[in-house]
Amino acid sequence: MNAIQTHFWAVRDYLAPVLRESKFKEHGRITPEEFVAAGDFLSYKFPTWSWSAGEPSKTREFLPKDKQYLISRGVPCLRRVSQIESAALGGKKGKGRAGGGVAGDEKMLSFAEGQDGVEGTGGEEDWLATHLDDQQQLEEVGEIADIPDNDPPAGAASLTPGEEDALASQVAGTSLSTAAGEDGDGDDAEVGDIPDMDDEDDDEDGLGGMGAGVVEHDDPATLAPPPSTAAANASTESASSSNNLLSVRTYDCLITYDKYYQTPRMWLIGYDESGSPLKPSEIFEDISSDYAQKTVTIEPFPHKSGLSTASVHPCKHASVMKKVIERMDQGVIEEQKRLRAGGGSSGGTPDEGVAGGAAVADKKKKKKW
Amino acid sequence: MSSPLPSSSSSTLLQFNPLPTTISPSFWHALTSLKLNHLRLSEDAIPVMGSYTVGRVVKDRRGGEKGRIVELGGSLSLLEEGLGGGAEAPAEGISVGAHFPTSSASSSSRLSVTVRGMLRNYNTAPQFTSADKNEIFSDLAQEILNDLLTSPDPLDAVTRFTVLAFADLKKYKYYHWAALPALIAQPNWQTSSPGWKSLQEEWTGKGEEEGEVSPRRMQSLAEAFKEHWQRYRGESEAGFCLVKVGSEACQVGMVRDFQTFFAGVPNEERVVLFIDPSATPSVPGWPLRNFLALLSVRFQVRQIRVICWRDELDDNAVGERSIIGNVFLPAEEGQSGSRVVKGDGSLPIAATQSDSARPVAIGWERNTQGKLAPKVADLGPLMDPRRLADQAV
Repeated sequence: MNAIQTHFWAVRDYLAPVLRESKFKEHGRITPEEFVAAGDFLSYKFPTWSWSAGEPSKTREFLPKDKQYLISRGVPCLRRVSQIESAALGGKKGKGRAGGGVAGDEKMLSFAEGQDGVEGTGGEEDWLATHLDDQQQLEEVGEIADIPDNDPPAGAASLTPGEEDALASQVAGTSLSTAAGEDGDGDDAEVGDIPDMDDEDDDEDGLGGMGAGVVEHDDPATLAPPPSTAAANASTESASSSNNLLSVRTYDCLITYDKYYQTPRMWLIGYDESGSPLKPSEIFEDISSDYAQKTVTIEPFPHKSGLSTASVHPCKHASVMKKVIERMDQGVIEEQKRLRAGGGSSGGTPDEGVAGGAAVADKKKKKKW
Repeated sequence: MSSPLPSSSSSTLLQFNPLPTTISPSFWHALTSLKLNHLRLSEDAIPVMGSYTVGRVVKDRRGGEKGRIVELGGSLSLLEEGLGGGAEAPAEGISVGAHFPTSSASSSSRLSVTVRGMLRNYNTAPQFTSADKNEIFSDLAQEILNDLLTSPDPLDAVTRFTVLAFADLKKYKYYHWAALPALIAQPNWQTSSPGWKSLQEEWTGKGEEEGEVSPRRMQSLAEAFKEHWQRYRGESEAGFCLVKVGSEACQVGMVRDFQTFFAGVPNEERVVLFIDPSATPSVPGWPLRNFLALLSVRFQVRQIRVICWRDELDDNAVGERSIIGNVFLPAEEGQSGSRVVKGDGSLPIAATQSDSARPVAIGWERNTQGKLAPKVADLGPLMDPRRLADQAV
């Protein structure tokens, strides 16, 4: 089903004409030239973003060869959305987000999805939701933050099938059984160490066996991994403890130009704490269930053959941008300035997580306005 | 700093923060096509490139004003552009994508250091398992030591790494294990008290011991270093330099010019700088370890001031997160361990029990549990067409 749809999209994309005239103000859509200009500005202002050429065979001819898509590597995502959702603001479904989590970014880029009603009150709020939530959750922070990631997500009840999968595998992981099926190793079961007796793989030894024979003697000059606070000074100690409480995933954020929708399109490639790529089910842990597998789906990435990853479907992007433009016209510029300030700090010193990145991405569009 | 070798009571053991690897799905994808189209059944080591950036810290905004600082250490990322792009491409037609330094690295102005290594891709899991990893590692350590001693470009050896891999192409699973061997100093390096301090504080603050302090000095260092980095970007040279600190201005120099650059500069005023992937306060990153080994075996350094550069260069607040400290090799108390013997002398590098010419090194990457074992990247859900079809829309 998905495959057919994907092919259909590919054909449609191929047939779609390249937008030549600027339609940004009228429709929120942009031309490739505008995309390049915006990307130039983005990468100039925020060097965490850079242009990438992608695979030569996948070059889109309407974009410069060396400016096929934008990438920002290693954007942190501190918590899973489920950790936040338990503490979310009651009435606003899906507004509780990881502090700067990918989820916030989803929302920011796709809040128009069936939410026009919400938008009346929440248009700008959506942009700032991560901040708002952060403040509201201040009181709860001590409690929430202590939940180690190994716990089954508290919001499990509202999980999508994909997330249930992940949950199952997490549970499986904590009980040291890796028989959780195809998607076997949960994030926290952490592939690495539990003998990976996955599927029909007869390698009983698994990874442990693969590393057999390698011994390193204790070395006092190597900083111990976070759990043990062997470090000599207090600062290291506190650092370690903060690491204990969070499992920081990182994301590579990519922005491509979608020819059919004539908008930028956001892609996410996730890594767990140890730097291993996340599976889709794990990526969806960072995306509010409102969007996971609806607005956010796994699609083939257009600039690499054979690689698929999570993407925010761009169908509502233009109308969202249009609304944004209208709002800005209505004198919300103050608000924008504030956001700008927020985006600014995230770009310079990337300390705002994925949402910071998204703010930047949004800023990029705003710049054209 | 007045006494080059403070007593051990006023010093602490210098620790290094290991550098983990992050390997993107597209790297594995590139490796897949390389294997299918060029390597086939070859298990020869192929050159790979990676890069690391300065560590970062993010504020956990859920903590509001008092948000905790979360450290995000830099990691060694292998980039698919670097596959086969090494200096000594083993066979024609192996290069995949553009040559790394000229493509993606240069388009980003983020401070990064390009490093070179080798990747051995085994055909089967048993081969991966039975590979003599200790020998591979120990050989690499030996090679690193030799290059530190004699290579015209020793910095390349400072950050040299190796990756063992087994690509289960049918299941899109990529087992891999990286090692960044660091030579173990004998005795261990010490940090003199008061330990690591913020560079900004040290240079633009009170400046008790520095006497004349000018805020311009910081700016000058940032500019000189930026120039150095831009000139050598794409090489390991970019990540390390020497610094001559004046009261107003700073000069930077290439590490290989150590003797000439620091001629006439007293030992206590010699400063080296490296791009630090560690984000942990007071714990420098892994590359410093071999860098110090280089300085000690090649230039007989026993004490040096080190700047761990942790800022992006475009920041206005340059030097805010960078730290500076004084490190030294303590005088040896008795014969605590065997050292690598070279010629008629010995190097301050630990030697193996059996062979006094072979250095001891450490640096297999540990997995999340801190154990010595390979990691696996399961890309089935991202690359397997069959499973992609199962993803609901």
